[in-house]
Amino acid sequence: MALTGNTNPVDASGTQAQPPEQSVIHPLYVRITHWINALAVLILIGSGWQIYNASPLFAFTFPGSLTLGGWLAGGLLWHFAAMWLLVANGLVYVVLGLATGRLRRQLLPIRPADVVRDVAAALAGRLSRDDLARYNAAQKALYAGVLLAGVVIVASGLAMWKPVQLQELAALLGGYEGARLVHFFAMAAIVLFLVVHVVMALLVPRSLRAMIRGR
Amino acid sequence: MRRAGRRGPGVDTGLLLGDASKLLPEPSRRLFLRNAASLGALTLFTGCEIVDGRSAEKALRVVSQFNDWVQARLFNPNRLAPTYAESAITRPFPFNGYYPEEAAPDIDEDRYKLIVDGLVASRRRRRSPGSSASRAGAPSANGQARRSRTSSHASAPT
Repeated sequence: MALTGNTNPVDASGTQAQPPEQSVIHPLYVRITHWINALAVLILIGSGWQIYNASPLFAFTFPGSLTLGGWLAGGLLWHFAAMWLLVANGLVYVVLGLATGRLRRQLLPIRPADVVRDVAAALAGRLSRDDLARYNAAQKALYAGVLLAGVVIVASGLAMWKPVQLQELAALLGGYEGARLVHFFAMAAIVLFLVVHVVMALLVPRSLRAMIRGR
Repeated sequence: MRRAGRRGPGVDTGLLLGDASKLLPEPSRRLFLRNAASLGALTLFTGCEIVDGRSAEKALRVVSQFNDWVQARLFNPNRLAPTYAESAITRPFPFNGYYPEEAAPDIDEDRYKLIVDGLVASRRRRRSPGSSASRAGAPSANGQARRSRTSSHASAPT
């Protein structure tokens, strides 16, 4: 796998076997939008937990030290500021991903049987991570899933932000209370993804380097 | 906003000041931009000081003003909030305030008045719906107000 992979563009004679741009695992726009997104998501989670604590949906609250904003109004200010960062940055990512065909190329097709096989292999520690440029089925499912959660969390957030002006959207999500639940579970899904994502990045440090330097 | 000199009759100065000070809880006021382990970790990545300082607070205010502008553009005065069936009302009506329910002042219903004042089309006084005055008069517009615990803060999502 490593021999045929494109992470090593220089062959034995010292000349470049492939044009250097092919060795780039993550193009610049992906790296920039990735880290802006990371910033926006952490601000949104911290401030979102602050907002949650002011009116908890369930019988628990989040530890104050993990929240952002100090109190409800501060949390709201942060949340309603970072939401623009998330949406603007997300639009740039999706438009460029669709225009360049990268999203389709990297994420599709997703076959359930492959996902089951690769998740089982990953849990057993047998999943090859040699070729960082090509996602395995477990990665495809995770990345497609978190993109979907992103769409759901923005839609439910809009429904809660403007439940009267956007009342059709709110009705689609089960009204204001329904949208709160959807928003919460989409957050939970994203936090779960984040845990897996960060653990994997730390287990395979080359992938973290690739998201910073591109290769 | 009501200025101190124009306070209406029956407004308890102590209660008003107490409420106002509760609006800005001092300890958490200073935690406004702090108190965030996640953001603390973030400064490692960004290398810039965003957790502390007035510049961040100022930036948040600017975004907040931008949000007000966006909300004003989004707002359609002809778009009414949907009407819900009476069965959809939560009973007992959930307490809504920036202070816990135990801290809500006890109010003498018969003497309680809500004064709508300031930059409004029509200034008026309202009696609490449970008071003898309103029982005798017009039908109650807000049958859900808690007896003897009335919050004069109303916020409606748009």
